[in-house]
Amino acid sequence: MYEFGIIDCLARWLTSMMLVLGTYNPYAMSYYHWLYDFPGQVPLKITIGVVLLILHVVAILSSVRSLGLIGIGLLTALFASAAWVLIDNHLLNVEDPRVFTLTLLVILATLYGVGLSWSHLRNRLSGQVDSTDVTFNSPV
Amino acid sequence: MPRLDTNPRVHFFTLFANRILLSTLLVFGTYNPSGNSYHHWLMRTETLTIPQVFVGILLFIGLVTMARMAFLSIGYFGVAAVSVMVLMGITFGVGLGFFGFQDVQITTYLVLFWIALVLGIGTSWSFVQKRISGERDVLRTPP
Repeated sequence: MYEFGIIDCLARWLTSMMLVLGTYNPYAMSYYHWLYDFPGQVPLKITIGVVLLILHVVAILSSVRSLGLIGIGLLTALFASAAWVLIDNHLLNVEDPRVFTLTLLVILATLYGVGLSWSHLRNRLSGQVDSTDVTFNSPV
Repeated sequence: MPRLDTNPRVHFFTLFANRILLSTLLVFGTYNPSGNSYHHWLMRTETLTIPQVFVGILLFIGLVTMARMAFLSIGYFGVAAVSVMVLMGITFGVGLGFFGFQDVQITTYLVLFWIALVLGIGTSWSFVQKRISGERDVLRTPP
């Protein structure tokens, strides 16, 4: 039987990193820079924008559902204190505003990654299944 | 893909051993009387340092997660049942003549291991229930 492992966690984390940093990052090419620095290609830009929006909504909704507000708060505190440890040991220079923005984006991407993995991890650790009650949510 | 109607074997010993080991690590890492624990690390320094905050949040998240999952699985009745099992284990030891009641002391170690046992058995219980009766514990989200 297939079990959810470290590879699956890493895959989700890397995908969310690509999603978040592909949408915006302060260093290199991103969707944001493509939008503002390069004219033309409007239909393609709209299409990619909608795809990115859908992916963000999927990641945010599943993170909120599986972690809850308390989980997101605790994880944010954890990552912020981890960043603080790095800053305190001079491993992260947040005087540079680009590094600061990148830190925030990496924290957001890690939250997405943990949110996408948490229901699997919970099921593997305790056997409990997260579910979504879709009975009364349908508009039709 | 695993299907819902399959009922694969569960290795109960590894199941319980892994989870009780994990909860024991968390509980004893937070506090134990030997002098090497998070609590004693906090006591040794005068002000709160940043690594202490980080490790504290990490331990807190681990304990809250384990406690919530254990409680959702077994509830008040299960916690009471595990506690009664521990007490009955002591009574059995007395009854079989291994030790007398006057030898039994409720030490800090016993209480800590008791907590760890409740957490470990609580997180394992859903697998046992799934194997023996096919019923899954399901969380309904959003709350």
